[in-house]
Amino acid sequence: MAELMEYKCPCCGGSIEFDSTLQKMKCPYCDTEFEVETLKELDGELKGQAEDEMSWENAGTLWEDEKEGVRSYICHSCGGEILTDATTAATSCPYCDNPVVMKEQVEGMLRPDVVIPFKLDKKAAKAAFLNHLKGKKLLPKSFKSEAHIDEIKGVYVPFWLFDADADANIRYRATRVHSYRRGDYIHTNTDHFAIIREGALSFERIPVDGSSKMADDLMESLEPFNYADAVDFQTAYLAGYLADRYDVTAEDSVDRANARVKASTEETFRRTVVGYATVVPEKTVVKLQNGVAKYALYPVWILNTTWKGEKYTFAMNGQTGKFVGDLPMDKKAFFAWLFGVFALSGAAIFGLMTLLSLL
Amino acid sequence: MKITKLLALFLVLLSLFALLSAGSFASSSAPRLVDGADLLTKAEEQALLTEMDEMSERLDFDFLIFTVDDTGGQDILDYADTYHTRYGYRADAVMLILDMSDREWCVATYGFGNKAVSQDATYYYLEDCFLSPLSSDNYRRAFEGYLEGAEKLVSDAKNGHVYVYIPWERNFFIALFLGVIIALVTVFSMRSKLKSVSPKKTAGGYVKQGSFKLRRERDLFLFRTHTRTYSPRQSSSGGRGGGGSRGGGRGHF
Repeated sequence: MAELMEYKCPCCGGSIEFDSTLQKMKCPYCDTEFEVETLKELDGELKGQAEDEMSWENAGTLWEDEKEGVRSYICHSCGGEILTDATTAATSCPYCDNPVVMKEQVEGMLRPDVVIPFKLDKKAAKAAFLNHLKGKKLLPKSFKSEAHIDEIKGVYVPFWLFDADADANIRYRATRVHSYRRGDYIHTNTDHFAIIREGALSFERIPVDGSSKMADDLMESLEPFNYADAVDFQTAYLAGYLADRYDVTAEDSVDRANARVKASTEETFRRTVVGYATVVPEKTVVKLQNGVAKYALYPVWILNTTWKGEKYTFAMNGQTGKFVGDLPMDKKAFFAWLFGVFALSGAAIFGLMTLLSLL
Repeated sequence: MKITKLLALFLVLLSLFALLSAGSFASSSAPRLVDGADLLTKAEEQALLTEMDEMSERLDFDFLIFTVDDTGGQDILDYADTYHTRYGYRADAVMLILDMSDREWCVATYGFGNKAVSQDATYYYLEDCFLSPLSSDNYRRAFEGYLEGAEKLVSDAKNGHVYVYIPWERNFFIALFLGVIIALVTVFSMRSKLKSVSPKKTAGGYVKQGSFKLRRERDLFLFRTHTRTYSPRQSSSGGRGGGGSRGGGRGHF
């Protein structure tokens, strides 16, 4: 039962969106601002209306395409058809740009527990992109001039937040070395130790990307997100942005969290072994117990650009502003710098050593 | 009367002889080149000796060369001292001594020789003059090189010139090596700035505050191993030695 939610301004009837600067809902037409709490009540109102509309919507909403993972909706503002994939939770009408929220993608079992609202707007994302290109001496010069942003979109990315309790029992082999000279011989005593460390460590809210559309390494590069800004989910936050619900379940995501937990546990315990010349882990046993996984939506700005036929994807943390994205390398510049630095530094060192010989 | 005149003439002649020979008292009657290891032909020995005698008289400084089959266990620098003292050479001297049993060489300096060959620069210069032909067993060429180098250093020192030796080859290779390292580090650091996407290996930022509890820690001593490596105190590749009234350097060839 496909159902769209749109937030209409009580003043002028225009479509209102979540404003990341004000952290409130704002009508772009009459500039009226609304507290999100106010719209919580509106949610209820809309629910009531939606139910009515649901029955109306149902009449013409189910399309055969739904069976193939494509969903179709009717825009309430212009009547245009909105086609999305099975996981889209929020988007905008391709005809009238009206922001819409797909209610059934964010209710019931699919309802996120928390959301971190966008703190930075599209302008900040564009500025961050230009800043990302600065100071990169090996970046091809034509990339800066020719690479235009094809697409820039604010997306609420679904994440699973895992808690984990790690119980570790690790054994190391360590050595201490002592050398001394007697006559023409150097004597070396090597003491061998078995080191045992046992203990526990807890982790909370380890994020794992729950969308197969988002590259995991790109999302992990945007960390950390500040959970202190997370709020209880309300559909109003999605208005004006794109959103996807998860299509990778918590069960499928937990392995990624566990791998990170295990690595951190080993690192933490290793730091307790001090005062040895060499430390080598011999046996590592880490038992993990996972608590309840939370489902969250985190804000991410995605920018796509094309240069010389290749697509480049960049991402900005919509909360902290951290910007990531791999850039191409100019091979000619690489070799020019290599030989240039070699020649300059070599000449400088040679000159310095010659001067020192004269002293 | 006749006897008195004769006696007076004899005394005058004796005095004259003493005066003329005054300079020679400082020098020994022992030859300045002693080829105990028989590395040179007679002709080569004679030619070198003539050259050494001329240089020594001209500069009032003894240039000495000794070759021995074996120092009999004695340190080569001490062996050189023994020679210098026993045969009464000038107080100002430089001696090149070869011990063929170990293929060890040593340059010992005395008196003014310490000033002429006192810095690392002069030491390296003198070594460069004879070490290469010496390593190739070209002894005549090595000794000629040594005499040429020693003469230059002593002449310069007597004229108050400071010798400057620049190890071009060594400086070139060090600059080349360091230049490559610096260039590689620089450009790879620049390249790494282009990459900002990478998966996180750990979850260190998500550790619950105060949750780390170490229940058990045991450090058990298992066993000890002992090894012994031969490393003689004296460097086998060369070095400066001496101090006090005698200086010098040594090495193997």
